Amino acid sequence: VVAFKEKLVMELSSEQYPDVLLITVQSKRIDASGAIQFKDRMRELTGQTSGRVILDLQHVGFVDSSGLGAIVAAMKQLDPGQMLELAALSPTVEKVFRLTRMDGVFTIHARSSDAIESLKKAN
Amino acid sequence: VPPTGTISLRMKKSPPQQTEIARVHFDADPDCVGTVIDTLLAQIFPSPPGDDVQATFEIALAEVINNIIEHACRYDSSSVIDVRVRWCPGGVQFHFVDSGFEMPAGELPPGDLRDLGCARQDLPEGGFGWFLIRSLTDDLHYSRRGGENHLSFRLQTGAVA
Repeated sequence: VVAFKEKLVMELSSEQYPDVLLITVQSKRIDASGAIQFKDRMRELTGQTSGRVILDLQHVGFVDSSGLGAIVAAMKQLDPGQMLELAALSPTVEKVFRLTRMDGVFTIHARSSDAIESLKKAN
Repeated sequence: VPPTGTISLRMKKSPPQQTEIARVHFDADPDCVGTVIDTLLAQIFPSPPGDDVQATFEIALAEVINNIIEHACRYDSSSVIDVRVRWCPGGVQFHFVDSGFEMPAGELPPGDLRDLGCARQDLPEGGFGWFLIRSLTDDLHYSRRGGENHLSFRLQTGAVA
C-alpha cells in the first residue's frame, strides 16, 4: 500500500458576537502536521479580543497530542482571565481530552450555538 | 466438475494465515500519517467499529506513528516505517519496525501524566503522547534488534475505557 501525502491547510474562520469571538476550525484534523499553523492562526484571530473565545470543533474528527498541546497553547496566548471554551467535540476528540484530563481544564459545550444562545438570553 | 481430491489438496496447501490483516510501508512524513491511519482502519474494519473502538485505534496509532517520525526518524522522510497488523484474541496486534534512532536508554518513556492543578500559564503543552499510548494499548513491548526499533502492542476491539 502506498500512502499519499495530504498537506493540511489549517483553516479557521471567525465570527464576532457582542461578547464572544466564535472561531470555527474548518480542517478535519489538528495534529502534529498542523499544530504550529493552528497556534499561529489562533494568535492572529484572538490577538485583538478581550471577551470569551469559543472554539468550535464540529468539523474536526481528530486531535492528537500535538494538537491538544496547540489548543492549550492557544489558551495560554489569551489575556489572563480571558476564557477559551470548546464546542462540538467528536467522540475521538472527546476521548483525548478525557484521557488526559484536559476536559477539566476547558469549559466544553455540546454545540457552540448553546453557548451563544445562553449568552444572548443573559443580555 | 473437478475431482474432490484436488479441492482437498488445495485446502491443505493453503497456509493458515487468516490472522494476517495488513502489512503497510510508509514514509516517515508527518503529512502521511492521516492517510496511513485511514488505510489501516479501512483494512481492519470493513464496517465502522463503533465510536469508542474507532477512537482508541485512531489515537493510539497516531501517537505511535508520530513518535516514530519525530524521535526515531527525526523527520527524515526518506526513512521507511513498516507495520504488520494481525488479529489476536480480543483485538488486533501491531508490530512497527523502523531503522531510526534508538529509544533513549533503550526503553520506552514512562508516560506519566503531569498534574493539571497548576496556574494556566504552567499547563503542559506536550508530554501526552506516551501517556495516551500506555493508556490505550496492552502488551506494549519495545526492543532494539539489528539496528532497528521494534514496537509491538495490542488494541482491543471489544468494549474499552
